Amino acid sequence: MKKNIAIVDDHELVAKGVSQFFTDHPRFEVITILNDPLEALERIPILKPQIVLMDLDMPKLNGLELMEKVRARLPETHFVILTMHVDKNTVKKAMDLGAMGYVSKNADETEFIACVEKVAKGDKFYSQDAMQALLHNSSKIGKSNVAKLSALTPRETEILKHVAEGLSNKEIAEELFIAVRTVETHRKTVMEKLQVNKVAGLVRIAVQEGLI
Amino acid sequence: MNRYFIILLGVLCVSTGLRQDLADSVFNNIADVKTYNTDSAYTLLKNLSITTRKDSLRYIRVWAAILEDQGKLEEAKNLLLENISRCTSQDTAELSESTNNLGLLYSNQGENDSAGIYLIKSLEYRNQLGDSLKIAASLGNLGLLFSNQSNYQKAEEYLRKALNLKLKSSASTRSLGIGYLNLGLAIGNQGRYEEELGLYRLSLKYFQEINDLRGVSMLYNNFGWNYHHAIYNPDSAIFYYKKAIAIRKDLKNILGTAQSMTNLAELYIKLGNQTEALKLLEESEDLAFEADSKREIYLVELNYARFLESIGDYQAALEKLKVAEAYEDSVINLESRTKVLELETKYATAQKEQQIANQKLQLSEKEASLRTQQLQIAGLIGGLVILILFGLVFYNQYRAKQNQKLQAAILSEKERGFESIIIATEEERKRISKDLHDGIGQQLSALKMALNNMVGKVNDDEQREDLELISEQFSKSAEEVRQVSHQMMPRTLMDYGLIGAIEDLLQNSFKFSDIQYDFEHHNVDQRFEERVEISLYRVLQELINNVIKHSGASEVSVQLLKNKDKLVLFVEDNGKGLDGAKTDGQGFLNIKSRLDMVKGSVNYTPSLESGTSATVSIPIA
Repeated sequence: MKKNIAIVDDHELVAKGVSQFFTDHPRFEVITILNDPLEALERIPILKPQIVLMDLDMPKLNGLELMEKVRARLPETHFVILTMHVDKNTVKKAMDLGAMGYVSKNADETEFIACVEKVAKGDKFYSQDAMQALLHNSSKIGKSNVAKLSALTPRETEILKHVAEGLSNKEIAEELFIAVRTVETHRKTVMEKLQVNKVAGLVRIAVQEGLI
Repeated sequence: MNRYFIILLGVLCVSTGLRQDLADSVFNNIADVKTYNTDSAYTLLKNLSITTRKDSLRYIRVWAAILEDQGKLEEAKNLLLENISRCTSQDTAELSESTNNLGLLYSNQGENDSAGIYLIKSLEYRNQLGDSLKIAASLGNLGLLFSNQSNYQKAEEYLRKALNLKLKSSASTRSLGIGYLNLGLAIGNQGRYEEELGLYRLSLKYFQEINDLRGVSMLYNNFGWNYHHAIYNPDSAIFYYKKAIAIRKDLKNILGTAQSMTNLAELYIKLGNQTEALKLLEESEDLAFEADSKREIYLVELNYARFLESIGDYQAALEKLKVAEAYEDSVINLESRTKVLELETKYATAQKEQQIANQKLQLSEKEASLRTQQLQIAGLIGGLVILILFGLVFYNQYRAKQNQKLQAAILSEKERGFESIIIATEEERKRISKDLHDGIGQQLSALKMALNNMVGKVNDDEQREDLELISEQFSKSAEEVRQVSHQMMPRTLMDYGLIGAIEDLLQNSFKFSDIQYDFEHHNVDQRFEERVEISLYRVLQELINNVIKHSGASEVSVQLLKNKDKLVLFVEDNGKGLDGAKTDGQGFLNIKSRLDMVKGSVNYTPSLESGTSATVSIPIA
């Protein structure tokens, strides 16, 4: 028995193009194309398709919200996101809300079909670019327990704090009523004592030590 | 009259000399330039960037000195008073300078009591500081003040103290020249003319040594005066006056030239050579007009009038007075015009009275009446001058205030215009980005899918290859549209804020380069004002662009922190540094104007690994 597919996309052309991939397909059948997400919210629980192919950016109701609402009532429905947005936050949110598949609208047919096949079997499939987006990395600088500042004099600690506050050497000199050259020397000493060779290292330690 | 001018010159000369002694070389230079060209000094001063309170105090003091040179005495006085009130007890040096300048200013205005108070204050401050040259300068100024009060004995005492101190502490040649000149004058005023000449000769030697023509010409003028009035030797007097005139002409010192000419003219009158005298006065008049200086014309005409008056030509004297009056500012014209009319009537009456007196009385009585008349005229002229000065000061203040208002208005208008342009641009970008993304982008995707669908149905291999090629092109176009749309207005920024947007920006920017990056943040999970977020994002975009295009770096660190009331962004690379790059390029300008809009700032320092570290701060509410 063929698996039933519903397509939700406010762009008629796109929806039609997608549906044509499944014309005469042995294992899948497109049972409905819905261009209005609110209509989709009504119809999907009635039609109970196994797979929903869905755009994200839609007027009135966003794809992720639609998915959340539908899955609250039909948790077994598999959602495949079909979108132009492949950024970390969106991908991550989709993943957290339980989307089984995630494909860029720029993906080629093979990747697209592969995705639907996998999802139909109950596996997750996130396309290459979506996975890559998830790897966009940043890290929060947290507090550390290792006291690194014990080697610094109070004046050096003060300089470190001002550097991390974004003050230039000149501004620090004015703030502390000392010469710019003196600030430069202190800065160098601080870097040596903390064994860092970049401003970034200074900033990180200042935050870890709670100076900021 | 001539003696008065000589004393006045002495004061001016010393006052500039003192300001030359300012400690800091920058302000020192400006004070130096001011001696020769007030406008250049003003330009130099305006271009200084003042960052510290100490500098701002100095700046205001030098500015006041320039204003004083421009004749804006009241403005200068107010600035100095304000400066003094801003000083704390730690600013002894500044206090000593400002009180000194204020004292000199009062002294120039003839307000001897106030002048004395401030000059003594300055001397006290300077005694605290212990700089003997400055102490000497203060003593000298007090000496000159006593001269002004005609207390020449006291004057001599102070000027001698000053000179001795200067000699002991190896003062500059110029300063010594001035010291001898002023002491000579004080002694001359006590009738010791030979001694006076001896001191002048010493002074002359110093001025000649450093080729200070201003000083030399002043001395020649005084020599002339001495030979003219004290030790009567008309030939020598004429010789020195002429030398003074020649030098002052060369120096384009119009006022000085005119003064020496007037002195010489007076001598010629004494010698009965009125033609020569008139010629000189006419020439000095021409000089003043040639220089087109209101102040000089006014003063020269006033001298001319006095001369004409002294030879009894009241009608001509009145003409000259009218010219003088015309060169004062128009604001006070109404008042002064009535004054002149009054004067005219009085002249006419006085003349008639004189005629009657002539007929009635004997020659001796006639002379007596002439004297009274002269006194009256002098009084009237004095009144007129005070009136004119008062009006001038008032008008200048008014004009300065108006000008300030206008400048402020223009500036805020510019800022507003600039800001609205950026806001409009961002709005437009948002709109175009959305249109591109939702319209053309989606359509391209749909067309590509439709095409792919066709490929599956075509049997002809060649045709299928062509279609696949076209489909690939569609993919590229769709990707390009997506990229452009994203660059125009990153939706992540609007939807998720700075961290998400920066992550995306870094990933996309460095995707095709060999540059390793890391991004750390602290305390910035919340959302900020849209303009702050967009500005910071755009600035980072430019900085990243610079790193990729120009730095040759292999590593970049990006850090974003919130710290009390500002957002701080650090972008550091290990490239070749900013040395070769132009920081006035379009990219840097973009950064600067973006930040100006949100009152942010950026500074670039060489990073330890020879790359660049850019620090961006944006205040948040």
